[in-house]
Amino acid sequence: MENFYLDTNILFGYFVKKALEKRGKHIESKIADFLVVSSKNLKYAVSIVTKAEIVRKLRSEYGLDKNIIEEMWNGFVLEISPSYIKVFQSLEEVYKEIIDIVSEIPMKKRVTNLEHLIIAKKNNLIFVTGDKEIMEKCRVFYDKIIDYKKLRKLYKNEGER
Amino acid sequence: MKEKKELSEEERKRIDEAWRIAGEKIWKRLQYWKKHNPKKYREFWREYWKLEKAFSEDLDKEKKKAK
Repeated sequence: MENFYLDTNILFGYFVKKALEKRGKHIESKIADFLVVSSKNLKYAVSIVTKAEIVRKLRSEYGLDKNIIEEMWNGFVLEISPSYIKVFQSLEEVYKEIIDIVSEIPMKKRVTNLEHLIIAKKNNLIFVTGDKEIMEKCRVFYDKIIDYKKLRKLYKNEGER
Repeated sequence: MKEKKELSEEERKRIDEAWRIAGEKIWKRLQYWKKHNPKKYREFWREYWKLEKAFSEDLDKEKKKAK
């Protein structure tokens, strides 16, 4: 089965919804619900970059302590069971590819999602992203890029097999 | 189906407690923004629903059509 490397945006909803639920506040999150249910059939993957972005946001936006964030991450790993992709490539290698992309295509946003893209590419994973710019412009560099809707459809097909 | 790691009761409690504390803090932060920084509060929910929409707007459209 293919392995789906998730961009960080798709995970924020999961962390917020789950935390607020523990506070007794239920908010709708189709993303979080989907991640939980689909993780039983689909193989997801994250990396150190994903974790760094989640930790930054939870710390800077909500002032959560390091230990709390670490336990939340453990809870996420336990529930969703993503593979943890170790990035063996050097920064030089990763950024050389990023430079190849940004020197050919004008990219407006910062390079974090391109870091994810290169990690996905180096590990032959399907990159799941909500970043339209990546979707529209970067397929020439790596064609295994899908949006959230496509992921849902693949899951549906998987279930119908 | 993938195998899930078995946790000890203590580990499970620690994770649950962390989520509870996080929920409390996130909730308080949201309430603080609502009162003192409404722009940030609106921005938070705008981003949140924007992502949800990106994930499921075709589903929502199908539901509307079905009605």
